[in-house]
Amino acid sequence: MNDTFNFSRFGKYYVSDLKNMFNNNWLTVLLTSLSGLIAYMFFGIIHLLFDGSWDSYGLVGRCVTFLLLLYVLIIIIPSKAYGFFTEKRSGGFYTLIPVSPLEKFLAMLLNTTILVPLAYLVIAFSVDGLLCLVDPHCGSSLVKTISGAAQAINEFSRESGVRLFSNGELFLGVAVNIISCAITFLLGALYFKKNKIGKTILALILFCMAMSLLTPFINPGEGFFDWLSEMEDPQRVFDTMKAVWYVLGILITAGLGVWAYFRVKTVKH
Amino acid sequence: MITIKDLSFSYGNNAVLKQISMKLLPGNIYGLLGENGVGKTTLLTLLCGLKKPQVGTIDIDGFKPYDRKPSLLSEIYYLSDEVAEITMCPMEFAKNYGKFWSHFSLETFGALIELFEVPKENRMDKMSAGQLKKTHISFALASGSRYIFMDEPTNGLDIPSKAQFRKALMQYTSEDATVVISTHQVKDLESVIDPVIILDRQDVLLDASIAEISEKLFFDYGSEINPNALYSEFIPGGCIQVLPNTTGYESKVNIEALFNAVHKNKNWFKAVFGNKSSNNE
Repeated sequence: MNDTFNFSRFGKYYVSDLKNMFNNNWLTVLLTSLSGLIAYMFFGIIHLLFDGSWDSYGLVGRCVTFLLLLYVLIIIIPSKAYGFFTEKRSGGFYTLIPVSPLEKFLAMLLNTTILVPLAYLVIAFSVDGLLCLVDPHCGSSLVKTISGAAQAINEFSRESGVRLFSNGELFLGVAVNIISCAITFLLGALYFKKNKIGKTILALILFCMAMSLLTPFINPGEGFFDWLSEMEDPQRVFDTMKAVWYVLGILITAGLGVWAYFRVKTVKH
Repeated sequence: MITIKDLSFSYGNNAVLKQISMKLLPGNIYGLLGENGVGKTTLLTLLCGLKKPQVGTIDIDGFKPYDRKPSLLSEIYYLSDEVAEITMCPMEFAKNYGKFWSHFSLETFGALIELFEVPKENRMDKMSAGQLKKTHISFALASGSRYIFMDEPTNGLDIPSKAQFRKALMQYTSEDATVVISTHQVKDLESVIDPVIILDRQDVLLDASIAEISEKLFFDYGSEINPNALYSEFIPGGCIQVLPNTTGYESKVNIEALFNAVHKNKNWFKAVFGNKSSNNE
């Protein structure tokens, strides 16, 4: 028996974990995904009651609500789904399920960083699409708006000759952002015993404050950034900055993932 | 086989286990006894791998429990004093998780649930503490694990369930299983535990089989107090006394009296029963 990773065991475990997660969280995911529609309807009804005509907030409001709810879900799901990990009773049982820590961690990762955001996107986009079919006041659907924005960037790049972001880069940027956010809150759910979300946010604030205080003291040496200023082509500067940004994002996300894995591996009850 | 060697564990400055060594052999149901805070639960959590030994080693069939390798975990079941409230009904729980234990039997689980009269359709998080405990006991016994560690398994069980537990324990644990039961409810399990391990603060006071205890001690259920008794206590209808067995007669071991006798005569017991850990090595 391979004690580190076994596909068949992982498959079986993932199904079990998914079932447990579905039992405990389907309502949260569904309600959060429908909250955009609920808020839209609520404002529509208020408008109908006071102004006598049906109207609600427009596309910008829907985009903001959509993004806000996506991040709310990404933030609350790790502690709701895996918060038991730090509890003596459930955490102890979970730790001793005969599955390797890597398999347990991967199941957590798949559920919190991919499955739940994907479920939200599917439900929220579908509901929004239906809403726009029924209600002519809603403007363009979210899917159309997002693809339109990507298209506008592409067109701008084509017309001006300045390459901003390809579709792949845009997707990667969004994915890294969502995954890093989910892993951060997963880590918080695995570490803090109580007030997991609040303490994670506090830890993030403290980390940012510490970094901003430390930054003036980090001196990479004179001329460290000369290579950047020596670049004459602005496109090259932009591409380099973009590449550094992506690599940093991926590295931080991977680092957080490794940290969370070791937490799963070494937890004591 | 479980080999514990020079095991030490402390919570901050509070040393709980100090240089404990012992061997736990297959085919036995060990009764792990001790006063509050002597480290019974700590020892069980170290054995199952929920904690890491600070000093010393635990070896189970060549594995270190804290490494939590699936190969070993599939042969271990730890039933904690307070059990998890799973948001599933018992059969769903067994189907969902039982498959990870090598010898888990859904039929056995079903039979145990019937024996304990646990309502199958109720979700575990909506059950009473006793029903929840019985569901987890059923899972532990149905897991077919070779190493079962139980922390106060009869806590919260009603009187009929305690008898059912003893029956199930004898019926459903395999012959080569090593069961370690930590309990204060010695009367509940008196008839099933053998050998007995009595822990003291940072020490093992006694690690002996019932046969050995019976050979070296005489449990007198008479009416007159013997001045040579290691321990005596008045009970309704007479008294119970623990005496050194000088006659060679066998007597029924009373674990509660034994426990008290050991605590009153620590040095005598150590001298007479010896240090099992050094015997084992």
